[in-house]
Amino acid sequence: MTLLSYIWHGFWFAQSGLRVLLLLLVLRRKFYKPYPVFAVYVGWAALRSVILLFMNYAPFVSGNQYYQVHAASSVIDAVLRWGIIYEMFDHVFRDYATLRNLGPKLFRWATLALIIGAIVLAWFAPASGLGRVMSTLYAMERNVNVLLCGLLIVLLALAQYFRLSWRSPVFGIALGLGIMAASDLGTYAIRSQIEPISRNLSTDVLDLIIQAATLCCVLIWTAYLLAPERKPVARVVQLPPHDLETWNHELERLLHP
Amino acid sequence: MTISIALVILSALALIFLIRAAKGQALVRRVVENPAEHIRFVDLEAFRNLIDPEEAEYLRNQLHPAEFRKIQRERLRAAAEYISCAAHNAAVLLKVAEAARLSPDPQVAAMAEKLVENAIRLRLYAFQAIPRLYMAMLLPLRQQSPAHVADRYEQMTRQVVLLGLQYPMRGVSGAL
Repeated sequence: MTLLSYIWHGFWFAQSGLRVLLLLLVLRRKFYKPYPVFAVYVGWAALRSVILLFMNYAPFVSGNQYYQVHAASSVIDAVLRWGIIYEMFDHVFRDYATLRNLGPKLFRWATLALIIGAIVLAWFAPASGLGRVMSTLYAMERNVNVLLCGLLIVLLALAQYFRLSWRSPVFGIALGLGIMAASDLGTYAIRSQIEPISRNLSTDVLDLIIQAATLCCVLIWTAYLLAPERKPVARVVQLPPHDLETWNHELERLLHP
Repeated sequence: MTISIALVILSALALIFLIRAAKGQALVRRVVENPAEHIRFVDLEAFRNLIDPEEAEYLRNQLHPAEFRKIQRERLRAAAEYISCAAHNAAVLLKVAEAARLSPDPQVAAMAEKLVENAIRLRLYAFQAIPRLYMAMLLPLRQQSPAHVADRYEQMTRQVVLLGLQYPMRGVSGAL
């Protein structure tokens, strides 16, 4: 085992442990009420991470069995992450009557456009690594991350354009998910093309990036869920008297244009 | 492999965008502290004149076609700038109104709610109107007048004044 391999395995252990802690935090602070899909994902991801970690070290589990479980659980993982983004769209737009209907509509259209984009990508850039099974799996993950990353960018771009207020946990969830999806997209795009039959330095480097990004994402979620929610402060202070003249002037301007 | 390299670059850009968005969240608070400093002046009368189809028709009849196209492009560019200033002001007011929405006074909260909706609508109109104006600069066909942006802006200004009577707007109404 190389030093890099030790480091990314360490990150894997750390993020698995942290995911379990995050799940406890979600349950303790009742985050499953406002964010049910996120809560299900946190539970699922903690379970998946622990199972995969166990399978990686269990002597009676073959490499083939490990990758079957990895591939099957990746599908559920992708569906849940997509569900979280839908939940974010709903949370961000629900406070604004003008955008309430626009949000889900945009989400549907963006999903459709990105699915078409992912299909085109799969057609023009199929898996081509020597390790065929893993290359194919990574090509699928790459396509899923195109969808997730694209949706998150649409959400963030809309929120930024309309200067919408994010509740702290919603922004934290989107930020963490975005960092994870963007780094997964980059690394899986490479791995789908160069995945070797046996592990080498490049696979260790890419695994290190994936594990570090996932750890960073879980840390962001934990920090945002632990932090008290910041709301805009309604200031109740005395009105400055000099403003009266300005208001009067404005009223005059409006009444006698 | 080229597609994969493009995807790696795209993912790096997505990461930069996310980090910038996170920083943007912090900047929003600064805008709420001193909203008047961020307001840009919008001369509604001049703007209405720029987007008036009758005025454009008058110029078309009075000027040589080449000269009219040149002037009309300038007018459209100026109109786009006015709209972008109005959209910017709407973004600033949105933040002030969002804070006012939490006011314990239901009248203030309701007025702030209206201001929030108008500001969002104005930004939505601006999002549609600015590309149309730039398209009209390239293809000088008869374009739809973005008069609703001016109407919405005027309505928003009125709401700011009314909200300012009950909630400290920190000089925003004067800056508009």
